Amino acid sequence: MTVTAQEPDAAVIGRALRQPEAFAALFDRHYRKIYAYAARRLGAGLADDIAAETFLIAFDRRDGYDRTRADAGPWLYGIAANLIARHARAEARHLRALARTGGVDVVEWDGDEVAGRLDAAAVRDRLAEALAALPATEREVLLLVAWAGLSCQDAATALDIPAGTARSRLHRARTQMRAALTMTNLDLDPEVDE
Amino acid sequence: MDDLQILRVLGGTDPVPDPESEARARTALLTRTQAAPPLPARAARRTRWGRFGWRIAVSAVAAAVAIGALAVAESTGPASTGGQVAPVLPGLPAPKPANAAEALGYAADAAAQRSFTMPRPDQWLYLETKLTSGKGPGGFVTGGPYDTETSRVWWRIDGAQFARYSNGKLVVSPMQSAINDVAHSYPYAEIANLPADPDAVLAFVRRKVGGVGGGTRDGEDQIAFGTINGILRENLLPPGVEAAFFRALGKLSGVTLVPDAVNLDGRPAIAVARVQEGWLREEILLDPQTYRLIGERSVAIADHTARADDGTWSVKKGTIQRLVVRSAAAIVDAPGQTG
Repeated sequence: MTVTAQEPDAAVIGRALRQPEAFAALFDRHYRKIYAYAARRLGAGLADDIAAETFLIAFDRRDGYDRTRADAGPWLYGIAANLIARHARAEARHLRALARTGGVDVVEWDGDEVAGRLDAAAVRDRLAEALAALPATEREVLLLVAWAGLSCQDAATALDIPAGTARSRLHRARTQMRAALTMTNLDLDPEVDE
Repeated sequence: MDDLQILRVLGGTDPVPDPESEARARTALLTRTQAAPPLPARAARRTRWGRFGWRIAVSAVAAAVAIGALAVAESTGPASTGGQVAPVLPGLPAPKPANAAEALGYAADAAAQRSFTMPRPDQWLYLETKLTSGKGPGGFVTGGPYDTETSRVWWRIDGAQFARYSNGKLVVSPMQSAINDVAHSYPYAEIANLPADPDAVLAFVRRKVGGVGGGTRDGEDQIAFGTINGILRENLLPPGVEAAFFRALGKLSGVTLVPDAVNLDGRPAIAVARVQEGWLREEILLDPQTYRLIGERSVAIADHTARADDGTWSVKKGTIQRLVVRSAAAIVDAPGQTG
C-alpha cells in the first residue's frame, strides 16, 4: 500500500499561476462534488452548466485565492452557490418536484410531538416546501451544511460572510425546518449550530 | 434523526454527472487554461488604470435566468441614459426594419452617435432597473400576483466596490460579494477597451462562455445572446463598443425581429429576440424611434409544461415571464448620486 500525501489545493492553485494547465487537478478532485451539490439544488439539467462554469470562474479568479486555505472546497462551493443563486425560481420548482419524486422511501424518527411515524411523502412535502420558503441566504447556509457537508465555518468562508452571520442563518433555517417537521424538542448538533 | 439528517435523506444519494457532460466541462477548462498566459506576479495584472481586482466571472448561465415567473408589468420608461440620444436620422420618421440585422444596425448607428466620456476608475456607474416578475417563493405561476422591484445600484468603475441602499442607508461593499451579479463580473475596463469591432466582441463573449450551453451551437448562441444582453443593459459603454455589441447580436444564429413587441406600460417597443428551449422567447427591447435599449422581456411563445413537472403549473402561450426595464443609467462621481 502506498500512501502519498496529496498536494494541498492551495499548492495546486499556486502552481497554476505559472502553469495554467495544473488547474485541471482541481477539477479532477472537486468536479463531482460540485456537480452533486448543484444537481441537488437545481436538478441535472442546470447542474451541468453550473458545475462547468464554477471551474471556469475559479480558474479566472485563481490569483485571488487565499492560499492560506489548503482546501479549495469551500471556495468552489461558494462560486457554485453564487451561480445557483441566480436560479431561485428553478430551485423552488425543483424542490417541489423533489418533494414528490425524491429518493426517500421511508423516513423514521422519534419527534417527541409526533405520534408514530409520519408518512414519508408527507415529510418530503413539508420539508421541501419549508426549504423553498426559506430566505435564500438562509437556505444557502443550510444546504451547504446539509448537502455539501461543509462545517458552518466553511459555509461562512464559501459565502464570504462572517462566521457569526452564518451561524445565525443556520440557526434560523433549522428552526424553520424543525417547525415544518414539528420536531420541536430535538437537540441540535452543537458542531454545526453553535 | 434530526432535521439535518432528514434533509440529507431528502437530498438522496450523490447525483452523478453524465460522463459526456463531465468530459465537456473538463475540456472547456483545459481550453481556458491553454489560452491563459502564466501569471508570474501580481504586477502582471496591471491595467492602464493601475492595479485593481479583476473579477472575471463568466456569465454563461445568465440566459437561463429568463426562466422566471410570470410577470405583468408596471413600469416607467427609461430616463435619460447618460448622453444625448438622437433619432437615427434627426427630423425623419424612424425607419421600419425588415429583419433583426437591420434593426440591430439601426441600434448600432444610434449608439455610435451618442456623446461619451470615458469614466475615470474612481467614478461610479449608476443603474436603476425595474424588474417585474412573479411574486412569491418561486416557480412558475399561471397568472398573478406580480411584483415590480426597483433596484438602484452603483458600481465603481475600477471594479473594487458596489453600493446600494439597505434599510435606508447607503452601504458600500467590496465587489467580491456581488460576484453572482452577472454582467458586472466583467471588469468595466475590459469591456470598454474592447475593439469597436463586432467580430472581436463576439470572440470575447465566446471565449468567456465557451464550453457551456450543452455543447451545441444553439446552446452556445443562446448563452452568448443572454450575455451580450446583460453586458448592454448593465453598462454605459463607449459608442463604438456598444455598437459592436449590437452588431455582434446579429451574427448569432436564430436571432429574429419582433416588430410588434409592446412595452407593458403601453409604450411601443420593437425587439430582437431568440427562442430558448423552443418556447421561451427572450427579447431585447428597443425604442422604435431612437433605437435605444429599453430593457428585456421574456415571453412564452408556446404552451409549456416544465420537465420537472409536479403537476402544479404550466405556462400558457403568450404569457410574459419577466420584464426588465432600465430606467436610469449614468456615470457619477460618488455612490448615492443619480446623475
